[in-house]
Amino acid sequence: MKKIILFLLVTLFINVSAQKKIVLRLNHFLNDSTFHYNENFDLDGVQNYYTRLQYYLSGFEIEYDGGQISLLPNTYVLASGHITNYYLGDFSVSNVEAIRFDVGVDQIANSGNTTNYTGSHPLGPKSPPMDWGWPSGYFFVTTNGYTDANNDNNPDTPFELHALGDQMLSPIDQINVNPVNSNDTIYIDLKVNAERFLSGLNLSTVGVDHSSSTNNLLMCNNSYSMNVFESYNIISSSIESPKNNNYIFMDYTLAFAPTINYHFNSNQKVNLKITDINGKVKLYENNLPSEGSYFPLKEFATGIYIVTIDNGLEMIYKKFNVVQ
Amino acid sequence: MLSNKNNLVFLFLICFFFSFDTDKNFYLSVPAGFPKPEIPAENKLSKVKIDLGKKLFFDPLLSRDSSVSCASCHIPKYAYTDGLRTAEGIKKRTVTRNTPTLTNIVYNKNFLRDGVNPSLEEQALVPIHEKNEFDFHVLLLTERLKKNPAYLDLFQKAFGAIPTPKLITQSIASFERTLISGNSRYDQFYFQNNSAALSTSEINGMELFKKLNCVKCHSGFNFSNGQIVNNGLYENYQDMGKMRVTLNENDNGCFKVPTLRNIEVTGPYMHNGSLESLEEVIEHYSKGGMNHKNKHDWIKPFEISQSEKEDLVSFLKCLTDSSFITNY
Ligand code: HEC
Ligand code: HEC
Repeated sequence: MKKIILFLLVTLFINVSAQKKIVLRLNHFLNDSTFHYNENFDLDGVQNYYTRLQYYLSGFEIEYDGGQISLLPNTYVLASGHITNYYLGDFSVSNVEAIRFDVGVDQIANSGNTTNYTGSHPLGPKSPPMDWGWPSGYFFVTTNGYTDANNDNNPDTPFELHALGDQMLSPIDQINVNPVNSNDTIYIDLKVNAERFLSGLNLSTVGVDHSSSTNNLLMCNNSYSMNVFESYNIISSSIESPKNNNYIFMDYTLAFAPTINYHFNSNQKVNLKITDINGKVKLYENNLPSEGSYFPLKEFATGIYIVTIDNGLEMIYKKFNVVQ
Repeated sequence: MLSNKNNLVFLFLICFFFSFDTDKNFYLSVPAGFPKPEIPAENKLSKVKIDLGKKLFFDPLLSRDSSVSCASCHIPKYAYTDGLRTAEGIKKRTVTRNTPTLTNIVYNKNFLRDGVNPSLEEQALVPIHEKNEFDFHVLLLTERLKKNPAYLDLFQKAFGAIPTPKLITQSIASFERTLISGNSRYDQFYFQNNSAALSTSEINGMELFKKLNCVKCHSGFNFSNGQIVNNGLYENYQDMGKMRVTLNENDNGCFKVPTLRNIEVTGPYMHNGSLESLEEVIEHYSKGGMNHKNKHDWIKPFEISQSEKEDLVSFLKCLTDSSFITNY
């Protein structure tokens, strides 16, 4: 009898609320301005800029339709400073009220192997790497950039923090949200105060640190203690980004195979083309997302190349080098 | 009394264990005195997989400029080491550590000199990505293999699939698991009841090996207790060993106890190849090593005569398995 009631309840539930896509929008900011690599931001009176910001989110829980809770145990997000939209899955819900998650990767996934996943899965092999082959484990948060160590307002001292180890997992308290609902998609907007990952760190001395150090632990814990993630109402927000925000930013972690980070403001799919200096097309891809990190699966000879990305209306391009 | 149903379950279980057992070890010949190695259920052995792994292991295609292979550093005739103090990879770049032997690697529970890597499959990614080894990326390597008809064919045979990072690491690990060495003169003496296999001097050496505590760490059929300890090589370690990852001061200078099988051909010795010869190794231990707060209690000074030293060295040398280093 109980089973029948449960069955009825479940079918009822499925009938009233149709499947909707849930998209998490991580709106990255630096001191309340739109996030950009290579652009100075202030932290406790010191100028810095990011050349890389990537982190994992896992352990998602959403509260929906009047306080019901759903766990998303298999949803992982690999977030990057220049990427806003992350698809969390399709769910039978009509509205989302709150979200919570952990920064980092849960212990089970963290003891697994990148090669168990395809390259496009957040936990798959990445370039630049999001894991360290030596001790098994993902980098929960990676921040690369430069800081102004000598007070000349010119950040020129590098820092590179890659946090590693189960103990870095940082739970974020439930955040009440005000999603934007379209016909088939629920957009959950959060504000990410990206500079706060680095609060309290002496960036001029941290150097290159790929480990479970106290500096890396502080960086991960900042995500809750410094409220890196906050609720954000995209419509009523007074914060706006007036400038045209389409850009390409190359990551040269591998000089022989750089990664193309790109971002378009509008949501249209894009085409990506790589030509050599003589205009010969070396690689062409269409239907890519409007923002992303593209790792060309092709070995290029040493030389100068041009990557062009367009969405039919707008086009951006950038020169880049390959050093074999 | 078992009911019929239970009987069936029982029968089924027996069949299950039986089939599991046989196909698990079918491709490995386990020497006398050795336990059956554990093969991970998600990467069972097969002949085609091992052959594919072997081809990959010896193929310079795995490095970015196709100049070095796994076997450039893990050379079979040196029991899969390279005879160098510290290893040399792509463009003659030097690696900070000495190449360890892959002898009986199937019995290891943790990998790398400091034992921080938990699986052989995962370990295979390390040299592919290391700047000083292959300086490459597994996704680009996968694309390279996808363009190679011979590999396409082999992956098809082994997995019924095209190359992927997972299948690459699985085949390499499968090949490595076959590198079993258990037919040295010591084995003939100890496990195969051939009392004439060792000379009196070598038997003396074996007794010293026990008496001088060596056997406490270099224990069992594979001459390793698998622990990660400090053997007093330095007062100040440049390479912090396991502490590099744990940042725990108690792990400073701690390295994995290596197997001593085929030790005659795997010099120079220790994580950084700092000791040239077995005589130097015994010299180090006889002084009780250097002072270090993490130095293990079993490392204590001892005095032995010149002829006893020679006996100990000749015992270590009878751990050489000539068939292992010549047939591959
Ligand atoms: C440039 C020389 C070099 C190359 C090429 C190389 N290795 Fe190694 N290998 C080493 C060194 C040095 C270590 C020890 C590293 C450490 O402890 O950090 C090692 C460690 C290992 C270990 C761990 C052994 C143990 O006792 O824990 C395995 C397994 C291994 N290598 C397999 C491979 C495979 C498979 C390849 C090819 C994909 C390969 N190696 C390529 C030098 C090399
Ligand atoms: C407390 C444990 C311990 C004891 C006791 C011990 N060893 Fe070792 N041994 C080690 C460790 C750990 C290493 C590796 C150190 C490194 O990589 O720097 C090692 C390395 C060696 C090596 C070099 C192996 C290689 O592949 O580089 C030899 C040879 C050796 N030991 C022989 C001996 C002998 C002979 C004795 C007895 C006199 C002995 N050991 C006692 C722990 C021990």
